Amino acid sequence: MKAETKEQPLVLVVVLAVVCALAGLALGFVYQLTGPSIHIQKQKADRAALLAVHPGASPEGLKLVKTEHEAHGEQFEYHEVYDKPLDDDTKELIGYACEGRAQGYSSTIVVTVGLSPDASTITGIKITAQQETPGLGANCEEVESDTYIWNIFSPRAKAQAPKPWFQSQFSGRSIDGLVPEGKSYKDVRALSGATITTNAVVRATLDAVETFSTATSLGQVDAETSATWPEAEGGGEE
Amino acid sequence: MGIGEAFAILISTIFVYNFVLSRFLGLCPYMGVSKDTGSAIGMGMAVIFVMTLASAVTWPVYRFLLAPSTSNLWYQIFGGDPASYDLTRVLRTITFILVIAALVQFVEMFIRKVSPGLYRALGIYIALITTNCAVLGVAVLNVDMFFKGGEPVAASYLKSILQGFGAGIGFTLAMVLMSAIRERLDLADVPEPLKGVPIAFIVAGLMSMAFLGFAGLI
Amino acid sequence: MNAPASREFTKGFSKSNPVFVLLLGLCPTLAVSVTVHNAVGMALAMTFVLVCSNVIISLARDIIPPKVRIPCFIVVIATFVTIVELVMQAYMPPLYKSLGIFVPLIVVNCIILGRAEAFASKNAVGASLLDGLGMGFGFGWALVLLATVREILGHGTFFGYELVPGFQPALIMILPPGAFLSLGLMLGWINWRRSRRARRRQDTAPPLKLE
Repeated sequence: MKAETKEQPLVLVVVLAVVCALAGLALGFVYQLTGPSIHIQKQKADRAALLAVHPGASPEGLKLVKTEHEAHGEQFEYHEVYDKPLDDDTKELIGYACEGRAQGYSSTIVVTVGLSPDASTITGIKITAQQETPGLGANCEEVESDTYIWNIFSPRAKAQAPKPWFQSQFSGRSIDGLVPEGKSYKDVRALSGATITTNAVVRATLDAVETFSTATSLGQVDAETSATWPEAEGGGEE
Repeated sequence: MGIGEAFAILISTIFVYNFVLSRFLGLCPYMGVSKDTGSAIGMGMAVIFVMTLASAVTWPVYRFLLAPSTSNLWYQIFGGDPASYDLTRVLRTITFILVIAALVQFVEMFIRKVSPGLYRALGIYIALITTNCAVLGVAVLNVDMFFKGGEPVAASYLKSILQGFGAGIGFTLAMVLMSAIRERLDLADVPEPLKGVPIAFIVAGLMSMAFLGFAGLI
Repeated sequence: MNAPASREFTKGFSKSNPVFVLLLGLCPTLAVSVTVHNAVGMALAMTFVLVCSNVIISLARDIIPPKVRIPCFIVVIATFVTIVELVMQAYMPPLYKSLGIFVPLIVVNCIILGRAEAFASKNAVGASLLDGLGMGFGFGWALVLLATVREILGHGTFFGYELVPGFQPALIMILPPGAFLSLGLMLGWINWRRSRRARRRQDTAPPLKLE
């Protein structure tokens, strides 16, 4: 193209328009390709916490229930969890799942709690949101790896799936047993150097349990009982 | 939005999650311009202005053109299902960077016409700011933090502007502190291999450590 | 064509390493180098964008008028960054989550716009491709080096695998100060090596200084 014609305003606009049009086409094409995958990933993520706290659940057996109760400024919702898809008539209720939150060291910790059908036992917890100190409080989501670097190819290493040790200690615990003891909670293995975060996770769990009981009248927790739970603050975090 | 919440946003963007020392945004100009305090302040002023303006302009673009909600203009023109107008994933980056680039051009032209003196002082910095990751970073952070699904949270616009403003102030604060230290470093006995950029990074590391002390404040 | 071509590629590693020598792309370098896994992911994403945009811009270099070249470059780069974002969200969501806002920030990575302006708009497609690859790998190399130091000292792991049993990692290394300190010390070490090599060669190479 000649140098003079390149400077004409019309040419500038046309070139820009063509570039944008081509870019738009390329993006549209890629979006078509990746759109379904993205949708599937989002669905998986939404269900991941629920499936993590109820290992025997069916991915299609989750039913959302909205309540009239309000918690943390939002309408409280919980999930009924079944072992088979919702349209299967032979499905059985294996429990409930709901959310609780509490203030941690540097963020609000949000926990999804799985409850047994009579709401007396915690089937498991999954921390879904936290911004605690990396290496200290953030270890609440840490997955304890049993694989050392020289074991990469050894078959023994592969047999041990890494577990999130802090969260898995709550699986199968009865709600009655989660009582404060001194500055923390009884029989709870704390995060080293992060007692505030540890207690916050327990408080978030108890918050979920209490809100669920109040909203559905299931379980033995009510406002009076929970009012006796002192806020067991921990010592300072490093 | 209460005064407490506004205060919390400002404190968090200026100190607790300082854009330069905590979020690593805006490092290139930070290292390049912080050699003397005068230019540091000048750059800082320009950055505050551009970041606040960018937050103010990108929010409506996101709300009315990109986000899947009933206020989406495409939905209002063409009808259909609001959720299917979700252009956020595909067009967010392009739209934001083009809006910011255009905005910076206009600001530069405006300042040049209105106040040549100011342009002489700030003009060169404003051009540098377009590719400053801090400006695009704050725009992206605003829509990540203050939108839920396609809908804005309460007082979302005000919070975004406040966050842009606070981020600019935090950037300026870090830059002015750095420039003050670097001016004195020039006179200090720094080991030869560390002279120049390396010692600047080490100083930034120490400053970042100091700012870590604000963690847990909010 | 071999000798000059390979030099386009290798210059990105040491002589014109974008991070250690040209001091570009610092934001993602420090932010993403917390684990080697993240560093590799970011490096691959950035190399993809750099190579693609270099090639396209080089192909179109005679058509784009100089007056609108920067907006055109930005649109091209942003398109490829969005493609990377979409692909990551679809097939590698955990990586996308851990890289966070630094994926869209690839579009303002000074390396990419810098190479487009300085090289791709003035050179043939083949050379631009190699230049993009070289710069991208140089960036990745710097990132992985930094991430190795930070992950080993700050987590006690490498690529997620534990190294030494019972090792108490230094927390500071995975926090922002550790990033700044590691990069500063690394740059200082590189300076020292250069001046030692220069002294041995009996000529003066000035140490790294920001102008």
